[in-house]
Amino acid sequence: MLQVFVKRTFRGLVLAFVAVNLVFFVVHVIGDPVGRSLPLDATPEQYAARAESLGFDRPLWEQYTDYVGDVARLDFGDSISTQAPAMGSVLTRFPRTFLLVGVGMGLTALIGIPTGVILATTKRRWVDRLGNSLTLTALSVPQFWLGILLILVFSLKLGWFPTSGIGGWKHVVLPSIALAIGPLGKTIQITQVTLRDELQKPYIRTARAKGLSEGRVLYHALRNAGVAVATVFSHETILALAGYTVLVETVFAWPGIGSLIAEAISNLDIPLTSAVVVAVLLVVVVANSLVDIMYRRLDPRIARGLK
Amino acid sequence: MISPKLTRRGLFAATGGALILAACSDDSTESSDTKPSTGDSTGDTPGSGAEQAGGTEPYEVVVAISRDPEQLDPHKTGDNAEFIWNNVYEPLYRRSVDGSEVLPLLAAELPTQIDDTTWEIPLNPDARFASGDPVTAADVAYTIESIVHNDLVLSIGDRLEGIASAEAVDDLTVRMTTKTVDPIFLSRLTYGLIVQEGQREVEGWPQSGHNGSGAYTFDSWEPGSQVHLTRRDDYWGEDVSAAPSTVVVRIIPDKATQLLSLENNELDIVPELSPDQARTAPVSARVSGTDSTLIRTNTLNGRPLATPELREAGSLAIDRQAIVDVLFEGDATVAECQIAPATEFGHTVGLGEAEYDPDRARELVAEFYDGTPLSFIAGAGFSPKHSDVAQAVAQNLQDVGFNIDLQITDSREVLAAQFGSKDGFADLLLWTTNAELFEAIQSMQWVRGDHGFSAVQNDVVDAAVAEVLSTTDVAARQAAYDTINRTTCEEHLNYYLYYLDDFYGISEDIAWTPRAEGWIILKDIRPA
Repeated sequence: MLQVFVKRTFRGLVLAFVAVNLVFFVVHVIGDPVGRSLPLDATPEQYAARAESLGFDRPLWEQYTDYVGDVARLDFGDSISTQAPAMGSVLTRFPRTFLLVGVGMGLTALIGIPTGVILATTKRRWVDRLGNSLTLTALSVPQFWLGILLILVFSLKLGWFPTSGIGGWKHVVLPSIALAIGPLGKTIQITQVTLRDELQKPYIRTARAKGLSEGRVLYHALRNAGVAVATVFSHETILALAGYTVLVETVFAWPGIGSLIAEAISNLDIPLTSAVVVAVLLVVVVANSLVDIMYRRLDPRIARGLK
Repeated sequence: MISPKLTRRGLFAATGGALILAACSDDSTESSDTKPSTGDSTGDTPGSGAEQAGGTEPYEVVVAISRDPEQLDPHKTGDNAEFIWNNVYEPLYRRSVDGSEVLPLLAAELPTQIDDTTWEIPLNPDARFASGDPVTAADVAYTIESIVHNDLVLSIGDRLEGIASAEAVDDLTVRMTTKTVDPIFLSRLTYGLIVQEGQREVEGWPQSGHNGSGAYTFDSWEPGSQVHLTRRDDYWGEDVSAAPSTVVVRIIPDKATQLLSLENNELDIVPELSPDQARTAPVSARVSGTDSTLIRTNTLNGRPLATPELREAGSLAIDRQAIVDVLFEGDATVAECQIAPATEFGHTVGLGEAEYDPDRARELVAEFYDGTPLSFIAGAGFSPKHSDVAQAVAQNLQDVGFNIDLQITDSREVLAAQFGSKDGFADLLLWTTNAELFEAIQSMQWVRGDHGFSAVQNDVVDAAVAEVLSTTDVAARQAAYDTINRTTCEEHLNYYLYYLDDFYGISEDIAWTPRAEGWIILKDIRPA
């Protein structure tokens, strides 16, 4: 277990190093962070003064070494655009994204896996067809469109939930559903397909022949299908935590990490972008490690290196 | 050996639960402290506070904006959050609601001109900052000097750039000098929000320590979410007891969500709507015809549109009436061949609308155009329906034989293309300006003094612009504007498209009239 963590941490550090370097060079090559932080009609003198105050008047290698040193100490400095501490902004936004993703993926698991099991085990063709249609719909619906639709129905028509913003628990419901719908389709689909596949295997026939109850048989099959389901589920969760929530955040005015990433990039804000990238990487590395652990619990062969 | 397993599971569950609870509790705190409207902290669908207001009962108003304030410095904002600072701080003068006249605010009366470049301004002795300190000449001088003489690169600096210095003559008299004769001196002073002397040096500024003379105090800013303002019951000016007691400015990026929130009674004011969006609002309000949309042509660097016949072809090719009828469903007006509509200073009587004659345009293109692609830049979100208008115009131009390379980009790129270097000039640039409130902007359409070149490269226009900017004689200025308007129209230097109203969505719970300059002055709001 420790080995997994060490390996993951090492890979994460390498990845973080590459990513922060990319941020630095891409922003310097494609954009002009100094100009971006100034009014368009700033004079050359004003430009020079701002460049000096931000340290952009120094040789590139000097800027680079300082930048890497600061990032290594997790000192990202202040955002160029808001002049607030960059990491402070990230730490304010991340819990909101955790909440959104936690509830959204919780819904996905609670609805997706049982539905997939029902679809895999049903003998009725109409249930199968209905399930497949719903799954395809869930996979095809664009998040922003669904978001607007949810607001129209549940806020405007029924008055059950607020349209947008953050606040009490009711504010979380609609954005979570909008976020969950895509992963829900995938989870149902993968659960259905892998479980159906498992249920065709010889060990299931043997188990049934031995007189195991259908519930017990299903448990064994589901456990073996679990690796594939867990892979899809964790992949979706990690994507969402990495900022793929941006569309949902925009529609529901939810100030999470996705919208912060968009703002940071559009402002060519190096400190803020670096802080977001490092924080997201950290979350992704931790999440991947947890997924590794989960794999080992689901399939001991992975832990023994047999698979 | 079951218990260790359970313990680990429990640990995972507890950690996950704690994370979610932590996030929940964080938001619950926000909910009770900074709820977006008057919905209760349990998260019930909020309703606008104004609906419960009666007479002068405290009530809350919620205003939507699309982007976060970029800065908390009242002199650094230039975005859609600028109105926030115009409620916390005040300028010396403010325009009347319809924009027709400039009225004293912190000043006691209109400035007295001492000589061509010197003005004296008496201050209102009653004016007080939120701290209770009087607004003095030293505060005004400090503010103006800190804007025009520093390296802070304040976004309102360009609006005050004609002012050379400011000094206190006595406690209640300020003397200002302008760099040259400045016909728009008074307009400039409607933009300088006065801060207390030494404000910029206060520890923690501008994240905290705001102390303005306006009717509202700045309470908090939750980045990405909302800004809170509270009415000053000790406001020094008129009685504001019927104005909203608290105001929440909510950051909602998506216009559709803003409109749905308005319809759901979670918002009270949604600014910057297109006409069709305004039609879906419970109540809509408009400020008529202040925005003028045009296409600036590039006659620099030997580009194709330096050829007069091709500029004429471009103008003849554009079906302005169709744009107004189809895209704006009649809620815009085809522009006369000039920026200023008939109600504005600088308007030239009798110029009429630009002609639409695609057949003639085709002939001119066939004769004079060598097929060089014309770059055409427009900003999505710069003004309502800009991308649609750009595509319609591009199609019109292509239909008569022009080869158009249309680029629809963000507003900043458009501004860079308009105000940047000669090399970055696009051949065609879709541009919306407000002709009424800041004449300097009108003049800047022709000459960019900062960058030292004339955008139109026309001696007659350039001389007239210089005249407009350097005389206070109203008749002489009008005559110069007449020259500018006639020349740019006849030479097809700009393609004037339409005049568009500013549209707002308003809830049924408040009574409010939008202002011509586009700011939402909260003390003007009343319960319906």
